[in-house]
Parts: sequence; C-alpha cells; structure tokens
Amino acid sequence: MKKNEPSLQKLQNDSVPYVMLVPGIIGIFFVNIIPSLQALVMGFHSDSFTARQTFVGFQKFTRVLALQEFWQVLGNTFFWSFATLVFATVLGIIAAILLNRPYPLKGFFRTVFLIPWVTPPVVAAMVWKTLFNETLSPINDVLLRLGMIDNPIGFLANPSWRIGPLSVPMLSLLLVNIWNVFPFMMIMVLAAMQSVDASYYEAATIDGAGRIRQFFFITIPLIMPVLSISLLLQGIWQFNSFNFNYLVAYGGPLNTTKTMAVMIYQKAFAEFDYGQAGAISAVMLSCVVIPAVFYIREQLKTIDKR
Amino acid sequence: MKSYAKRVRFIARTVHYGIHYLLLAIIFVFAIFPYFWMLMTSLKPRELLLAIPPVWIPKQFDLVHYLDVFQRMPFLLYLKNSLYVATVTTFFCILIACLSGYSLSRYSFKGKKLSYGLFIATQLVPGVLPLVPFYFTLHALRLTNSYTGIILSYTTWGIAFCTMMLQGYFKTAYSVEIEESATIDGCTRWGIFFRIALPLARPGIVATAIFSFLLAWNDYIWASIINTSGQYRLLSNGVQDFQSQFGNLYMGRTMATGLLATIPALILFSFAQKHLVSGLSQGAVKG
Repeated sequence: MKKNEPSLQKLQNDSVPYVMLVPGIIGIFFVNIIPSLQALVMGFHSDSFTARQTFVGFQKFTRVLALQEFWQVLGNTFFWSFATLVFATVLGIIAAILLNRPYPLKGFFRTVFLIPWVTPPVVAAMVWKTLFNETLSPINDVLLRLGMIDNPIGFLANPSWRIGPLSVPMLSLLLVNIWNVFPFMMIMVLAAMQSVDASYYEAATIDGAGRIRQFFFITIPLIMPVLSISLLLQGIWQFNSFNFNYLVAYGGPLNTTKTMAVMIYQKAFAEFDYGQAGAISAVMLSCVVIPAVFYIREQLKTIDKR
Repeated sequence: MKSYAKRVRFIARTVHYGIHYLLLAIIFVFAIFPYFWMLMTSLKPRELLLAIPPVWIPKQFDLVHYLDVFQRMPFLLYLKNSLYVATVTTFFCILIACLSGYSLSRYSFKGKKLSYGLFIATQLVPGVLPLVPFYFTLHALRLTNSYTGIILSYTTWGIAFCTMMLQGYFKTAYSVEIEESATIDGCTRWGIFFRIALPLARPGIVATAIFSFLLAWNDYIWASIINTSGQYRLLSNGVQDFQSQFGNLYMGRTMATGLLATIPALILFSFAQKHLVSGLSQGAVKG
C-alpha cells in the first residue's frame, strides 16, 4: 500500500489540468460547439427542428443561393466588415496618437472615448434611430441650418440610390458601427504604442527624423503585430455583425442594411425556415474559416510564451 | 532677435496645442453626442418632443419621464431581473473560467493546444449560428422563460472569452518561481491554485468578472429568443419593447429608460477600465 502512494499521487497530480478544464470544455460544447454543428446539419434537412426531419441534401442550399436577396446580403456583409475596419481603424489610430502624448486631460478623454464601446447595443440603437429620424434628427437640423442640404435626409428610410452595397441607410448604419468599434481599435493601438521602447524615438530624434517620419517608420512597424491581429479578430466579428443592423433598421429598407447574421435570425425566428437558416449559416461559416484558422494558429503560438 | 525666436516658438506651440485639442474635441463630440441627445430628450417637456426643428436644449427641464419610467413601466422588475441574471452569471462564469484559464496558462499537457483552439474558435463563430439549436435544447429542457435558462446560456457563452482573458492574467500576474518554491514546500497543485494563483491574480479576476457582467448586461439577442415572457424579461429587451410599443410620442420615457439602463454598465466599466484594457490586449489579441 505504501509503495503505491507516490504513483497514486502522481496520477492525481497529472489529472489536475484535465479536471480543471472539464467544466469549461463542457460549457463551450453545450452552448457553442454542439449547437453550431447542429445548425449546419439543419441546413440539410427539411421541416421544423423538433418535428421529424427528412434529409434533403443540398435542396435548402440551392433555394438560398437562388435568392437574389442572399447575394445582396452577402455583398452587404463583406462591404460592412471591410468599411467598418477601414474607418474604425483610421479613427482609432488618430485617437490613439492624440492620447499617447502627455497632454492634460488625457485620462478624461480616454474614458469618454471608450464609452461608445460599453454602451448596451439596444440603448445605442435606440438613440441612433432617433438621431436618424428624418424630421427629428439634430443632424438634419444642423445640415439644414448650414444650408448644406435643402431637404432633410432620410437616413434610414431612403434607399433610392444604390451602388452595389452602398446606400444612404448602409452609410448611416456604418457611422453607428464606427462609433461603436473605434474605441476597441484605439485601445489596442494605444496599448501597443505604449509598449514601444522610448529609446527608438530618442535615437530617431537625434538623427533628425520628425514626428511624422517617426510614426511611419517606427510606430507603425512596431505596432503591426498587434494591429494586424486586432484587425483579423475585428474583421471576423464584424462579418458576424448582428446588433445594429437588426436593432436600428431590421435589415431594411429593401435589405440595404441586412447582414448574413440578420438574415439567419429572420429566416429562423420570423419565417421559421430552419433549413434555410442552417444553409446560410454554412455559407457564412465557410467565409470566415480561413481567417479564423489563421487567427487561431497565431494565438496558439503565444500560449506557451511567457 | 531672441525674443522673436521665442515668440515663434510660442505661436508654434499654441498652434500645436490648438490642433491637438481641436481633434480631441471632434472625437469627443462624436463619442458623446448620443448621450447628450438621450439626456436632453429625456428631460424635455412632452410638448417639445416632436417639435420641428428639434429643440436641442429645453428651456425648462422636466422630470416627468423619469417618474413615468418607475410608475408606468415594469422598469424595476426588468432591472431586478437583469441584475440578478448578470450577477449569478458572473459568479459561475468566473468560477469555471478561473479553472480552465489557470489550467491552460500553467500546465503543459496532452491536448492543451486543441482545447485552447476550441476556446478561441467559439469566439469566431457567428453568435446566431448556435442560437437556433440551442433554443430548442433549452425548450426541450423546459428552461425557456426562466432565470435558470438564461443564466445557463450566458454562463456557458461567457466561459470562452473569460478563459482567454484569465489565461493571460495568470501568465503575467506573478512569476513561476513562486509556484516552484511552493511545490518544494509540499504544496499540492490544488493548494497552489487556491492559495497562490487566485489571490495573486485577483485584479485580473475582478476585471474579467466585470467583463462577464457586461456581457450579460449588454446582450440583446439571446434574451430576445429565450426570455420572451414579461415576468423574466431582461432590461435590454425591455428598452427595445418600450421603444416599439410607445413610439416617438413617448420618446422621453424611452430615452430615460435607456440612460438608466446604461448607468450600471458605465459605473462598472470605469472601475475596471485599466485592467479590462490590459487583459484584452494580452488575452485576446496578443500578437
């Protein structure tokens, strides 16, 4: 008995990491991994989820792909995530530069700039909906008073001109999204900037390089690793975007602001066509799989690093 | 000559400061304007709500909408629901995520990369994807329209992100030598976890807890599907209900609700701001 004790203890010790991991793994399987796989399976079946299902192969897929709406929404989703990334990143970097210097009130501005990011989406959507209301909009009020427009803009109501995914409602919603996302980019860039060794800048100053050159030749290259991984993550998140597109405009008018996530939600919970929802989910997932694998690989590299 | 150079430098510096603060002011207005409008609308007397052109700052503030929020709407019920759900979620989420985050940060074992990969992967899956089947699972378990169901959803949903954040905190909160010397002193792995890791990583744990609270507090989509009945409705859905129910005529009331629903989130966030930010850049996006 006594002889066995060390090995028993070793067994207990070796199992600790697994025991610790089990509840978390069960959790993500329960809420995420299993349901996600079920959703994909759903795309190959007809009838409702609870009723007896029949396998229908790619029937739901062909139905979805034949929808003109689907292609519009696909285009919207790509445009939405790309445009958000570009503008939110530029604004985020500008804000980070402004906050990276030791000016008075720096902390105050930083906190205020982060507010859009923590605002509950429902509340943000509610206010922006009012700000975009054709007659009650203070934005229209300003533009009218300045004489920049003659008639109030129907920010969310007017899909009359459209170039591909570009339309007035889409641009209005993008503004909301940039408002929400830029703080994230700002904070990531700011954290990266603050970890840059000050001696680089000192050396560059001695060599006679100005602020602007320093930014492009020292700051940008050194924050690139963090910036690119943030872009990748945020790009995937924006591709999956649901909240504002649904809460502010319900994907309308004429689907101009609809993203794939909104379409899935509406197919499932408004039209109760779970098969089509599953089929769209599969398409959506296949669009993000390559960047996702890339992101996961990058992250796994860091796990053993200290 | 000297004073001339001085003056040029003074002007240059003033211009520099001027541009700096001008840019800051522009972003400031952009960031805060929705709040300004929310506050002003919530304080407008009823007859000014639909005025064209809109009234920016009412001459007289009217608190009637705030009274309405408490007297004419189930605001307190929804508030209570949300507070309860978010608090319990936070507790369980942190409990579980501390274990898995610690395991991933301190041990090397077979299957570690696969497990961590799974945690990350769940962050990249569109939120609506698991929603439909998950709803049916909860329905089958008779957990829709209950506290248990929504808490279960938020807890399991938040685990992955909290694990990733905590993994980063445990890695950087203290040096490995502390644990090594504890091992020599005869401390078991569980002993190290409870007596060393948890206390030392406390700031990170608090920040992550606040994060998971905000996750539950700010969510709309899960609650909109899972808790549809009045008694268990959460605040975020309540705000949405009020808006579609009452329309622009009662905008003041809705805005007051929105503002009141945001305040807890903002207060909590201001406490954890610094840790949240460092945790995010370490856990989620470290390049």
